[in-house]
Amino acid sequence: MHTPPVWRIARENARLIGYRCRRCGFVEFPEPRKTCKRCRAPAEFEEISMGTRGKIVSFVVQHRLPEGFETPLPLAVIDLENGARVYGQIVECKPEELTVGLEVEADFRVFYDDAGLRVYSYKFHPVRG
Amino acid sequence: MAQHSLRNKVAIIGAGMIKFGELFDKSFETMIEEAYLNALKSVDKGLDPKEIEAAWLGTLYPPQGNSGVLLSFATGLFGIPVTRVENACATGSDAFRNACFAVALGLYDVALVVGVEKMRDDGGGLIQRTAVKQLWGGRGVTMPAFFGLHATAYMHKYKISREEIALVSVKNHRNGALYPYAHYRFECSVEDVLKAPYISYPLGLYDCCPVTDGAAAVLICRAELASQYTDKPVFVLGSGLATETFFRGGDLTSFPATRYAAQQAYEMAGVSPDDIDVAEIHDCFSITELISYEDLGFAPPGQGIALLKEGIVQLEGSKPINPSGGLLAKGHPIGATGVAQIVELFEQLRGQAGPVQVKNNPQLALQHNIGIGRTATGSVSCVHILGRG
Repeated sequence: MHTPPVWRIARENARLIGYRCRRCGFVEFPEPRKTCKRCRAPAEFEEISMGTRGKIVSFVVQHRLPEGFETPLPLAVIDLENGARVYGQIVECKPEELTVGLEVEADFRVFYDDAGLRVYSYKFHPVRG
Repeated sequence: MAQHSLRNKVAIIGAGMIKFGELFDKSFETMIEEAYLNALKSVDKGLDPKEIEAAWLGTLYPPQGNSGVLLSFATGLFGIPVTRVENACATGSDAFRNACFAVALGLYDVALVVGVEKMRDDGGGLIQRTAVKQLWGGRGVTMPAFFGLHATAYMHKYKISREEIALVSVKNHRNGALYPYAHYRFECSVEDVLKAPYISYPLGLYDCCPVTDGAAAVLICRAELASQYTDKPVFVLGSGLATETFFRGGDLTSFPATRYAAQQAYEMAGVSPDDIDVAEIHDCFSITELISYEDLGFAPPGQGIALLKEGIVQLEGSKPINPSGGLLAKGHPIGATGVAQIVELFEQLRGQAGPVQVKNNPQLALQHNIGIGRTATGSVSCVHILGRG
């Protein structure tokens, strides 16, 4: 079995499920919560699909990382279509093609080994065609 | 609303630090001891260690144990309350803030604050602490990446170039070359900054502060007692602290935590950004200083660069910023950083800053940290306003 931090969010991670505050619309991900970061108060949340497309809010290209990463590695903050903001690694994209506002799409990929088991999650590539 | 304020209740009566750098020959406790002794020595009319009734220790990565007792081992101050504080890059300034609370309340007449970090013994630096096994908490995000994300967004929105941002590094290295306690004492040009290897595009090597060992200490007392120790005390006028995350919104061209913390501090002190004569602000990366000009109210959004181009924030300017060389040149031993900024401003306000003494006869000084926590998904800021007696 995967370690607890991976196991706890397995469902949300695999299906890109988020939780939207019924009062202000803030989308919490990946853990379901009972307090809202934007309302700064206890709140009710509804389960939503976060969608698979989004836009780059900002990005960097990582040149110095520990072992286990391929560099240069583009990393972005992405606003997904249904309101969630997430961190994402960008693949299938030359660093010089990255721009603020670039449309990207989520793609299920191998992330890392966790106690001998593969962990999958989403990376993002530019929307093609 | 709150009934009480820190304003004019606490005086800084002594301040000292050690030269920052690669201090392989000094242990964690030796660094604390030296900074403490320098602070004791700086008290004009003398202070007996037996008068110190409580102490606060700011440190993020202590080499052994996690408690305040490390300060006791380094100073001999056993048998009194010693509290360890950790709050990302605001660790040292938050230790100072909490010591001020206790003294302002009248629990203690005299207290000691020490900030310290030993970062060079572990060769990997903070990049080795990158979030590796995170699914959505920022896998692959480093400290330079968090601030680099703000640089990219800021450059895009305000059409600012890497050449322009490099002016921060050039200014701070020029000051650092003069500052006796700085880790890096060399000047650099815009070309040097642009030609340096990338760490996290758009940030290159000279856009980043070094990994540094260091310690700093201040002695504070109830304001009414200050004249027993010195004729030139420095008073705490305002203090603020706040947290934020960009997951709540915003376009990453500002650090809202700084805006909240600064507003708290300005309100408490009853002053405005225009009143500040000299500031030590958090330039962990070049972009951090530029954005912080705006978050602290020194310039409108997108216009911070004018302060550099017009010479306002240079050592000889009307509002010198980071006369010590800032984190970029002085170094950023995390727990020590906020305390060292206060040490520097204590000396500036007393006219004792030597080769980096500002020339505008400063009355009011501002100290600022902006740090990150929760694997670079949230930030914390601390701001203090200090004034000459």
